Amino acid sequence: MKRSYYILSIVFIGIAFGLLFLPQYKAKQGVNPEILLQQLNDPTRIIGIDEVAERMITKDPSFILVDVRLSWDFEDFALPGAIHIPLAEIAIAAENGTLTHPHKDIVFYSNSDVTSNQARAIALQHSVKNTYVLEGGLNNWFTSIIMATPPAETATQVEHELYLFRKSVAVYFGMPLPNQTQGDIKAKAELIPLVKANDNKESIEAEGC
Amino acid sequence: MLAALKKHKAMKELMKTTRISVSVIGYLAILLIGFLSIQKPDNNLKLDTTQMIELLEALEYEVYPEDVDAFIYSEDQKYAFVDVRNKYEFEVDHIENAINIPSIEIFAKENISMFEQMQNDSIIVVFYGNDQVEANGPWMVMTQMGFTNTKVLLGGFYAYFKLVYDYEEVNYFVEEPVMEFATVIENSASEDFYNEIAAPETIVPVERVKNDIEEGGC
Repeated sequence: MKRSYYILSIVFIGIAFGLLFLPQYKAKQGVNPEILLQQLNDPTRIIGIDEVAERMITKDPSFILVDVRLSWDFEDFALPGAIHIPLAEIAIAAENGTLTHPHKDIVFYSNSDVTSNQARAIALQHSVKNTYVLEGGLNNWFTSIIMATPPAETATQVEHELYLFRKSVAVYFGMPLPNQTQGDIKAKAELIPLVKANDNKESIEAEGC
Repeated sequence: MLAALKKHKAMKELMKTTRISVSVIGYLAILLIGFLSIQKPDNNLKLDTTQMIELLEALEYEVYPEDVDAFIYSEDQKYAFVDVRNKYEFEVDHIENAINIPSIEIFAKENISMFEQMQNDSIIVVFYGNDQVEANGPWMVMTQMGFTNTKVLLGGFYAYFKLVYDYEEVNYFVEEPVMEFATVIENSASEDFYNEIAAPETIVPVERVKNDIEEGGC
């Protein structure tokens, strides 16, 4: 009788140790590729340039910009406040906790959106949360915001407002105001004598019938 | 009487032990079922991120749009083009002999076995979407699952379409900067910045010539 109790207790202790190692085994299984692909194709991963610009200007503390380009690209130009983690070091950074910010959005960007998507794919596999990709990358940032071109006169009001917003963002990031330099242009234009047709009215009235 | 009591005691004892052993066996059976029913995912990532980064940096996965036609008809190395766009986009137009596997259907059993077959036949699989990013996800996941015969079409179907139908080369190296960012920001401080960009149109009104002599009517 006593012996069977001993055996029972040994069995249960054995099982308890087995359970102890179960979660670790599960974690080693790693990422499910199907879920990973879903996350990679998730359309909400894309964050628009205007939203990023607004959050940069309002000094939103809840997001981090991660530049995944090579070091000379980063030294040449980077978005203000961005941290530099090249694609090759994403895995290391995710492991040592540089990318672990539970309440922050992590926005990856590169010159376009290929490298940033690849970096995000690597980060996702190290269970980095709240990852985003800057829409179109720096190329889009410069062509659409910094060098924003005015919309056609027939464009909708929304487009005009977007242009004004982007122009003001460009000014915030160091571009001159359009009015600042256009003063010279106006001065040059005024040198050309303007003769208005109405000014030459003759004193004597032309007679009619 | 005594014998009967003894027998009864022995029976009780026996009942006890059988009850215990039955419960133990039942418990172990439940555990066994539990362990057996742990679901191992059908598909696993075989390559870890370090190996994947090495592949990304090697840039051997790139296929250029101008090489596509040569690859379709190549004799010595077989290529299979996999269109990851949806069925409608595929129906509109696609690369010749391409297989349509929308990226949500890529893990279907028959597709996985087809990829395995192509791996064994050493056929190179080229993923493409509308742009490179669309095919990037499926390509990365399949590569990490151990299919090393995979590549991605740069510029996607758009670049290929433009090249074949419009004879127009699209810049498919999208990661190249479109302008020198630092220079743009530096030059913005100079006064000529807007003058260089948009010279204003000056409209000079034409002077109307008026006769000195008064004009009569009729």
